[in-house]
Amino acid sequence: MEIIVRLDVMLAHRKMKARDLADQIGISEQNVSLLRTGKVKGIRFNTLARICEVLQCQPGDILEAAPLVDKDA
Amino acid sequence: MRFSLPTVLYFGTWSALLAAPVLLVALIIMGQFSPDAVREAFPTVPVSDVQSDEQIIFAGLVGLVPWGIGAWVLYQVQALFALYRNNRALTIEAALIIRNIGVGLVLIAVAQVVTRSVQSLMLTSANVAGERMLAIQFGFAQVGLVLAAGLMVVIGRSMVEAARAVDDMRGFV
Repeated sequence: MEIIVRLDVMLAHRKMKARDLADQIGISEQNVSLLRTGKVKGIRFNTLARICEVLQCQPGDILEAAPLVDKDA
Repeated sequence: MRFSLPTVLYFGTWSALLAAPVLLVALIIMGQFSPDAVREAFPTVPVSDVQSDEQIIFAGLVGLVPWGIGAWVLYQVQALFALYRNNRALTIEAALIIRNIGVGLVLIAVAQVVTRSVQSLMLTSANVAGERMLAIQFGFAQVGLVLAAGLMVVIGRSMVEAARAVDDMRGFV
C-alpha cells in the first residue's frame, strides 16, 4: 500500500489556492507544494489538523491508502 | 562580513594553522633544534660526546611528529568550524570530522609517548653498552588527550544519530 495525497482535490473543492492554504496553516508554499505532489516522507499531526481545520474536512479526505503501483511494469 | 562565533573560530583556527610553520621556522632560526638545545631538552638522558651533531638534530626533529599530527587535527577543526559557519553543524560530515579529531588526539598522545622513547634511544645510541637508554614517558598530558579523544568520539557518534534524525525530519511537513 502507498499513501496518496489528495490535497489538490480538496483545494479545488474549496476553490482555494495553495498559497492561501500555506498562509492560513503557517507553513511555506514550497512545503505545501511538496505535500501536494506527495514528495514528503510524512506529515505531522498538527499540520494535518490545521489543514483539516482550514479546508473543513477529515484526514481521510486528504490522504488515501492505495495499492502500490509498480512503475517499472 | 559577520563576526559571529563560528567565523571567529574559523579564522582563529586558520591563523593558528598558518602561524605554525612560521613558528617552526622561527624556532629553527633561534637554534631550538641545535645539538645543545636538544641536549638541554633531555636533561636526564646521558648523550655521549661521540654522538654526531646530525644525529642529535635528527633526534630533536623526531619530536615534531606529534606537532605534525596536531596540525592535521587543527585542519580538521577548521573544517568543522567551516561547516558550523555554513549552518551545517548537524550533518554526517560534521560528525565524521569530530570523530577524526578524536582519533587525531589519540594519535597525538601515542606519538608523544613513542617519539619521546625513540628520541631517548637515538640520543644514546652511540653510548657504550649499558649506558644506552629507552625512556618511556606517560603523564597527565597523555591521559588528558586520551580522555578528550574518547569524549570527541562519543560526541561524534551521537552527532551521527542526531544528523540522521534531522535528515529524517526534513522529509516531514
